[in-house]
Amino acid sequence: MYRYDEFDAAFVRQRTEQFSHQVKRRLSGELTEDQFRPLRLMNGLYLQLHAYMLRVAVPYGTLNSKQMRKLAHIARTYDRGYGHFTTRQNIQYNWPKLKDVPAILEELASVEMHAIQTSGNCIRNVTTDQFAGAAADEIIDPRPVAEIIRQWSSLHPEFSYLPRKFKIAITGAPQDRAAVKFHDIGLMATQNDAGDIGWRVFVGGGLGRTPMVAKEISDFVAHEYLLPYLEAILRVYNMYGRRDNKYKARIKILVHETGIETIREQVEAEFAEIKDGVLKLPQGELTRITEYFAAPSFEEQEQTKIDIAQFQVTDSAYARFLQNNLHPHSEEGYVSLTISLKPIGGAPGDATDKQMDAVADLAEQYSFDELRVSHEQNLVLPHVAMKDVRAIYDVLVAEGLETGNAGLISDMIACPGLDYCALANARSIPVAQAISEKFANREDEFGELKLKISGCINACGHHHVGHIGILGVEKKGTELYQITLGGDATEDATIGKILGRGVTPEEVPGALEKLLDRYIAERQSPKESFLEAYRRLGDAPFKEALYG
Amino acid sequence: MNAITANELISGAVVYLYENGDFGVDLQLAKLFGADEQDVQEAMLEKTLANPRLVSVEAISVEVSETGTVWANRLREQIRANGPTVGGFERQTLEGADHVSL
Amino acid sequence: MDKMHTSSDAEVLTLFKDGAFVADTWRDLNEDEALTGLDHVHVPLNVYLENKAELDANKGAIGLALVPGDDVDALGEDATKFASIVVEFPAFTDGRGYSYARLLRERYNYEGELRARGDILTDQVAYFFRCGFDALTVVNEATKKALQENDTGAVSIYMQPVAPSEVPVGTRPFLRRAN
Repeated sequence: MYRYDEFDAAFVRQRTEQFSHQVKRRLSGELTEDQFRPLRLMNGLYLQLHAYMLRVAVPYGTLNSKQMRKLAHIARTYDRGYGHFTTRQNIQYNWPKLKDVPAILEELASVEMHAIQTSGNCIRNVTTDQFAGAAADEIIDPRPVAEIIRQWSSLHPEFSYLPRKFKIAITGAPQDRAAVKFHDIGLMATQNDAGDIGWRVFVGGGLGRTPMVAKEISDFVAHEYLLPYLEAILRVYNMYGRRDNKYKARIKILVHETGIETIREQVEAEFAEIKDGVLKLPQGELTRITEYFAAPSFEEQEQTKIDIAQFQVTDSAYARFLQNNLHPHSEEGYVSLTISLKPIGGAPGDATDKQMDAVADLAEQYSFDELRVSHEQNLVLPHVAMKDVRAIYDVLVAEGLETGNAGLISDMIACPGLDYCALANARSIPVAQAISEKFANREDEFGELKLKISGCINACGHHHVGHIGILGVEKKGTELYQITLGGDATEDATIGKILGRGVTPEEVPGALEKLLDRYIAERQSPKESFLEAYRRLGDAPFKEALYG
Repeated sequence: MNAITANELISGAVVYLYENGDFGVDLQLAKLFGADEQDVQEAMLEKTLANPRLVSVEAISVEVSETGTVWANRLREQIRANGPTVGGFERQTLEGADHVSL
Repeated sequence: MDKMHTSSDAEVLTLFKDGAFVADTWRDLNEDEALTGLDHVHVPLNVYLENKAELDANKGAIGLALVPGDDVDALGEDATKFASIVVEFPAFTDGRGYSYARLLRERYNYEGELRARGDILTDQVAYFFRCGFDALTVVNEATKKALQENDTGAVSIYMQPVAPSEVPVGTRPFLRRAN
């Protein structure tokens, strides 16, 4: 993975000092809250319902064991012994005190981490496939380009006061696990007719109150021209994106209102002016960065298969884990292993300090010191030899991390909701817990099912792209939950449709049961997933099941 | 009835304006403003907004039960007053003293 | 300028240039003001575009005032005719002017004075200079103080170039530069 040189280290150190200074000036009364707020937000510090919340960047979801141990240490020392992993592959602490934040940032800097640009109307942390650099279906490892984008976008002087926040996602695999079409810019690796690998560029995707699937703005941008191309998009957005209405300020609205053809013309004109300028990436630089992400020294493995059937009767929990939590690796005898942060009845995405330490140890011992955070709020050991899976599983059991539910209904995304978030209208975590408990014994029957829960229309819980999505709203002072069906965050990007009137918190698990029972009854075979069945059948049977 | 609430600067903790003019974490001790006390409420709100130790200042709607318990009307404010409804976490405490003087 | 500057005037100086607050010799064009006999006056872009010939006939120095939403490309190379250009930042959150500055400097070869004016926070000062501004008109007291004390706390290491001149060849790998 990328390692800081003196330059990066000095950059983060200066930024940390700058913020410490700002905190001091705030505490002394020199800065008012109005003056301080934008400064703290640029450093990932929010004020939520009960306390501050600090969002720490995990660049493209990649961590080493030392960094994970530091995150555990911070949870233990400055917070309440846990952290929350987010859909943006970051981690959030829910209880830090303002006076401790400079110390936390110093701790982070000591392991090459920071909270820069995890908030504010700037270019946020770049996200990617959690199996990047490991997945069997990958065309190219997206991490070097993600790192190059990270560097280009860090404290960018022209693009730190954009109309609204700006999120870039990148995938190197044709099967999109990074939801790139629901980002302001999505990049998808592709090969052109000449056999060169480059990037398809999508623009104007997003969730929130106006969900949009991104439109393709270019079918091929070579590596060397990627930064000028991105800069061209950002400049067009910075100059023409709406600033009169916060809810219409994302680039998706600009693309929608202006039309992709016009935006493409503007971007191409801008790109033509700057493409051979200072941002054109020399091969040497691409090579230099790529070397940081060289594959680890895999060893030839005797074991190249895992026979799941042999455990089905004697150790069904392990069999489930093998069935669901392993992902094909490009290297024979290896897998990527998902550590679910969705125990039945737990708060999705939360991990305790002790669990983080244990996962760090596992990464060090079994995964070449590498860890990933997935946008589905799980952790991943990207490079695990098949022979080591059992030993890892045994440790996970000891730590309460062995849930074999990756991709199933209880492996849901949920935002913190009204229990923590100042923007939320309804709670997410209790609803997630109730659903998880309700279906704990039936989820294998349902098969692959992406359930996503948001506590408000801002859609941090990605409800629009859940096969089943749940949106909490406030109606006449009480919580009500709208159900959407048919959303899909992958390359087949689809926005879910609202099924009908909302239900109360207590009614949510029962409502889902009706929908899922109907799916089981209607499906052509157990191989037909919920999403496939919905696409074939449409709304009608599900409406009938829920509302009669 | 209304109460005045804010978050304390250093800890971020939820606080309420008390009868004695201090701010503390207990909604039960909050000064309550009746519908006929709009002017007083506005004046106190102004004063609170001017205090650099208090942020996210708001007047919230509350009710008093027959037994004298003060209840925030919105769920959001109930959660602020009682802590998250899941996970068993206590509310954030103030740094040092148990109240902030205006 | 015949006005004497005393020490008490120093407090009302708002133009920051070359490391100090200095007297401002420019003013904005008044509404309905005649476009002749002007000297050291910033003229709005639309006024300039509609009255080029008349304004060009002035013997005195003419400057330009840009506001967010103005079309810098419509100005183009004409930018080089001006002695001073001021870009308005009505709110610190409105970052359009950063792009205008880069276009003026990097595309339209403008080399004269380039001012940012308006809601300027300490944290933004370094960004302004990097985008090509060389003067700031500041009213925010905290920002003024930080500028006076040369204490903006800016990060002096850049992770990306914004202009060719920012990256001396061979000093840093590709993108980065220490100030």
